[in-house]
Amino acid sequence: MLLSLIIYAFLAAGLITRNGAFLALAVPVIVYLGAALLFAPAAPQLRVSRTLSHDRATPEQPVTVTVTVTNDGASLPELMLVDAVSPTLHIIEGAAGLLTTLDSGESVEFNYQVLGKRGLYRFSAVSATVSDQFGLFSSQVDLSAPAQFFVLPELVKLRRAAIRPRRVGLYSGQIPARQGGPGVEFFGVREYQPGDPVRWINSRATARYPQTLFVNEFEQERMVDVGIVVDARRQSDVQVGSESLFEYSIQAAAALAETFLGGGNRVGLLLYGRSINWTFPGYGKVQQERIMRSLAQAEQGVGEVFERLEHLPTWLFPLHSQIVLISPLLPGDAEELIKLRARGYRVLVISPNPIEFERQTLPDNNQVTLAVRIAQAERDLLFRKLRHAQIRVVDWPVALPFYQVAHTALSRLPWQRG
Amino acid sequence: MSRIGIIATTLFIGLGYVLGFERYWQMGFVVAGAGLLWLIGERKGRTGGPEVGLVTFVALAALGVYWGKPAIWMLFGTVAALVTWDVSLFSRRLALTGRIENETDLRRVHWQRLAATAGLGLLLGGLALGVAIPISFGGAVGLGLVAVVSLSWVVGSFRRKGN
Repeated sequence: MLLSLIIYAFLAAGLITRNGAFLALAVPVIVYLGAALLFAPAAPQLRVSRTLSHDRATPEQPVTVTVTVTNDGASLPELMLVDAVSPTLHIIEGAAGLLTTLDSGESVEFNYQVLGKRGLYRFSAVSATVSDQFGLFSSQVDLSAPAQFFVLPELVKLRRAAIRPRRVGLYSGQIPARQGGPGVEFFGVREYQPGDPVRWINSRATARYPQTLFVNEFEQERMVDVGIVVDARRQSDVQVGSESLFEYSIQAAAALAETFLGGGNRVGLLLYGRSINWTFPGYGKVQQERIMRSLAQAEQGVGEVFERLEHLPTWLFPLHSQIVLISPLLPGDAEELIKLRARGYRVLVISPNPIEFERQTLPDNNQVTLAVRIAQAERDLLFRKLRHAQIRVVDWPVALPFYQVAHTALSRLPWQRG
Repeated sequence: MSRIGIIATTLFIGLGYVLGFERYWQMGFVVAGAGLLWLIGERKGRTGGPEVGLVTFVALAALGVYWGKPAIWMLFGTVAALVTWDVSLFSRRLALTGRIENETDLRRVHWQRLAATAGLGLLLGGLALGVAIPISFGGAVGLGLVAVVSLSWVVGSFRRKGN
């Protein structure tokens, strides 16, 4: 455009002044533009492939992206390749672009390493811009090379998370079932029935009633249904700088899901925020992967319908099953949780402490101390209400690692009625 | 490299004005000032600097021709300005790219084509300065219009193809 204007200006000046020297000055510019036109590239015929070193990674694990481009058309004097990388990914090594010459039939490869926070990262296309040697005429194509990888949440291993819902499943597991049968823990004594193992015979009870044989009964251990509910309501979250309390909820959910699934239980995951994101209950490692991927993509949101826990879809959870809610808790949540308990669900609340989390950035003065005391008193009152309704509540000051809190609070069951 | 180009451009066009100390020789200072500004802009990597530099020096060359200064120096200056502009843009393109593969080849091919183009432009421009074909005003206007229309069509069609 600029060169064309210069040529037009010289031509106009030459015509107006009737001075041929102006046309002579235009000649080098015309030659330059003509050369650029002559060597202007044809539409590129390129093939692209992309490989990722991992399709799942942890936040500390770099993923190497390798892009290979093959030229199926004519030689390209100047080829600029740019890979569109999500702005939330951090390139730690290499570059997501390349400038090269590429002869017909040749291939070129570039790779780079990225690190990302928890999430799902999708790659779509590589932009290829072919231009002449002078960069005047270019032709751009987007070469589709889809790929994706998950950055899974940090997984903290827990030794045990003791739960005891009233309803147990058919298959054996690790949760005491309140039913006599084969097991480990003593459950009671009953009359001998044909087929009972001889080593079960209770000699003391039998000695008292010589005409009858008595055997020990043990408590059966079965699998249970566990529904993990992660509070993804934005209003319940606290942001301090780039840190979010929600990330701690995700970390707790991942750890608990792994522990419950490891115990042979059937676990489902519900993300309760802008909408309802439900991972159907299942068993084993496949289900763990599903849950981890769902947690990797979990985002907070604001939904008028889901402002309170009253729209928690309880029909997703079998009656009398175990519900684990991971939430900093809002003042109005207690009523809804008590209703859940009243319906027969066992409810365990893991509550990352928003007061301690926010306090770390606040100045240390009397006003802040007083405000913290008031907020803490309100929270204690909320917890007391919940505990009064036989709901287990674990207060998690997030400065402490979750495994430590879980070890203290979840390794054994508190005494509960019903 | 672009700095050498700017100095060369300034020298060629400045000499064109100053040599002989005829009228408007003081424009040599303006040319030197413009060269200095272009150098500073280039050093700071200002966006649009090469374009402004090219337009300024081409305009100064045209003004020199209009005032009857030696056209050959102005032609050298125009070619030098064009080369400098090209080199500057090429360097920026390379600097913007994260990684460059076959950089030596890329630079070599670019320099070869640029040298050939600049040389041919200088040669043809020099020939054009020495050749005088008498054409009537109407003929000149007609030829000029043909040149403008054909150039617009060619450049436009390439741009459409590129998009």
